[in-house]
Amino acid sequence: MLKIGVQTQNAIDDNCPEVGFNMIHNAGFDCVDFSLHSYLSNTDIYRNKCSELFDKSMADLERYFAPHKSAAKAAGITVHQMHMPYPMYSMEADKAFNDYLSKNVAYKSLAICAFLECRYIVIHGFNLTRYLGTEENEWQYTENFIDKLAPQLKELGITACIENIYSSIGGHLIEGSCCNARKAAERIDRLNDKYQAEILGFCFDTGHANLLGLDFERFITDLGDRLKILHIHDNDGIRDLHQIPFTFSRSRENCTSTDWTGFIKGLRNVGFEGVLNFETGPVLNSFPIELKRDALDMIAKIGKYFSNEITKE
Amino acid sequence: MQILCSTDGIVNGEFPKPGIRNIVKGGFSDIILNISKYALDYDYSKYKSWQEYRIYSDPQKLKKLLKPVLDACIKDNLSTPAAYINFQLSKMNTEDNLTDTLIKLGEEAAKIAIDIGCKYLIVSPLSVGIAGADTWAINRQYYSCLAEIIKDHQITILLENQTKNLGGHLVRGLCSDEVDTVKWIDSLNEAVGKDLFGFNLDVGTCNLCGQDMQEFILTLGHRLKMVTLRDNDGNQESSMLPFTAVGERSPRANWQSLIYGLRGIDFDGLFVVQMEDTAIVFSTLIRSELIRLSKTIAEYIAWQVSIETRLKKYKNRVLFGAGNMCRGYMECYGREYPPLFTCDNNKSLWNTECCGLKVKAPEELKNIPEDCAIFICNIYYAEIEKQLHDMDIKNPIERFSDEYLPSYHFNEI
Repeated sequence: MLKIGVQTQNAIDDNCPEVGFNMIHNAGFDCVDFSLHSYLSNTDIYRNKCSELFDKSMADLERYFAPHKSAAKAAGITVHQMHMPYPMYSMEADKAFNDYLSKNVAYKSLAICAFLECRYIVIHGFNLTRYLGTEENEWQYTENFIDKLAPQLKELGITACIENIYSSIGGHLIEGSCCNARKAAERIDRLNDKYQAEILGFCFDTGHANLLGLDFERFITDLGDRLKILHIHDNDGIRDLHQIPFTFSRSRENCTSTDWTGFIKGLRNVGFEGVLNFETGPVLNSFPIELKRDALDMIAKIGKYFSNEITKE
Repeated sequence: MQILCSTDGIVNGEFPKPGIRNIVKGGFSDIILNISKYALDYDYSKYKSWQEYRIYSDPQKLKKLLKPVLDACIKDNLSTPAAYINFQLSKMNTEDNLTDTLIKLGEEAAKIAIDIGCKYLIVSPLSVGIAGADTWAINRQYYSCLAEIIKDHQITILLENQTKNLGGHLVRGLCSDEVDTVKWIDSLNEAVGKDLFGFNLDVGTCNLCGQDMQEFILTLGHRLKMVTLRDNDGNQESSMLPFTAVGERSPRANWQSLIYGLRGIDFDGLFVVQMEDTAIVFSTLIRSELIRLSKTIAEYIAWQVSIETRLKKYKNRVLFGAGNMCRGYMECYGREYPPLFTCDNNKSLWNTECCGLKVKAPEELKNIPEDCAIFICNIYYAEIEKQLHDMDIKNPIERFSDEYLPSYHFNEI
């Protein structure tokens, strides 16, 4: 049986984290995906706005997150993965703000990750093709960022995971950074070889893949063992809705419009043994409070279904 | 670069003359004929659904069905350098083997393409009703049969990227993975011992899957022979006039990615304008104006694609204009294609510098070497061209553009 995880966003209240962690545990989850990015939103980053939280010293940050750590432990939940705020570079920002992101926010994110005993942190590659002309030039910026993180990642034993993300043009979501599995695999191998440590891996995001009509099975299979973590969620193929799998169809036959069969086959192909992690925080906002727990139960059941399908002989 | 007009949405198969006339009035001399559109059994009363109606029971009827269109083309001097076939069935209501029927139909279409003088035949891979594991084997058989027919006739068969319908959501289908597609094309060419196979990139299909066209094109390289220009909103299948699917005051298709990719391979193949849905909603009374606009748009894209090829063409070059476009040139191309100087009509700029370039008076252009091209870096192209002609300057004159510069990592003046 594979472990099941869920995002903490909209489930954990900073003022009483034990309530949320207990609810997550009771719904049948083993782990969480700690939503560190919710403490510094991308909207704020695009506005060059600093974060009060990330302005704290490391000692203060540890004090801030100590209740979360102990509440998770008490509920029998491990922090399996987390999400670094994004983006960590903005073409519109000045050097001082970009330095604040890469030197302060990124550094402290990794330190918080280690403090919560979390092994994986998701980072977004930079969506810069429109400015830099080619995907190769774009990747060079991302790689420079990873190079900056590498010594700390190695020291803390953390693997940063790049994720397939989208970009937008005229409101239409199109391929963004890290949407080519073959290139990603080559780059991960090269950087891990360079640093002689598993500093880089991949996070496959089902929702983003669905928005771009990617072939799930092929993508996952091409990644192979570089696939470390998952963001499982569903959408209508148009907007990034982060909803419960199997809830979307676009025809009157009402068959699923997301390639869950390909997802299962891909994970089976690569012998995936990681956590089936659901990035479905927004779901908890759309259900009434009285049904929040039922929604989490349903997500956990889907996780168990996936696990059975992936691991069956 | 040759630009072809698709007849879809413009020409009625049974009464083709008005549509053909509109294409001619719109300024085109070449069309691409969608043969599969005509592969209908007109006795459709026996079928229960539209899908069943599109049964191709008698491939040999094809030529007869196409005769009115072909006759109208001959009469109006329209040539057909390319044809298109996409035979897919969702159901069979005959007892024949589906694949055999489609192969027979493909063969018949290939013979027609030979008869009407096509240089290219776009053939979409077969997918409907074929199990994933058999896809390549069946398509290899399909394409090999067609190759046998066209091999002595100077025709190139072009594969094309497809979508796949997943519960109403169009996702990446056959020939949408650039590496797999290259393998298919190379394998087919290797089997016949020459380059009989290439690729047509359907921009609309790429857009439906948010695909990075630049990466796709760079991987395809010389195998890319044709590009079908069509627009849509990225969610629903439709063929609209390029640049008309918009949102948030921006296009919903990544035309920049297409142009960068085509520049990257020095593309000099064919463009097809496919705007079936836009054309259908336009009154026939004004459709020729739409067709003329579509040609202008395709020419604009072709011109943008060729900018770097034109820069490479000349040993020496000077610029005309010392503003932002000149700055864009110097930022992006100044190192690789350094101009001798720039000039400007603004006297106050003479003898100053713009991005390291000396700014001179236009009169200085009379002293440049004969093989030196003048690149106009100013949107008043026609006026400056006239000025240069009035000065009796015989050097090649080219229009530069900063609308799709290869990098925007710099600030405007």
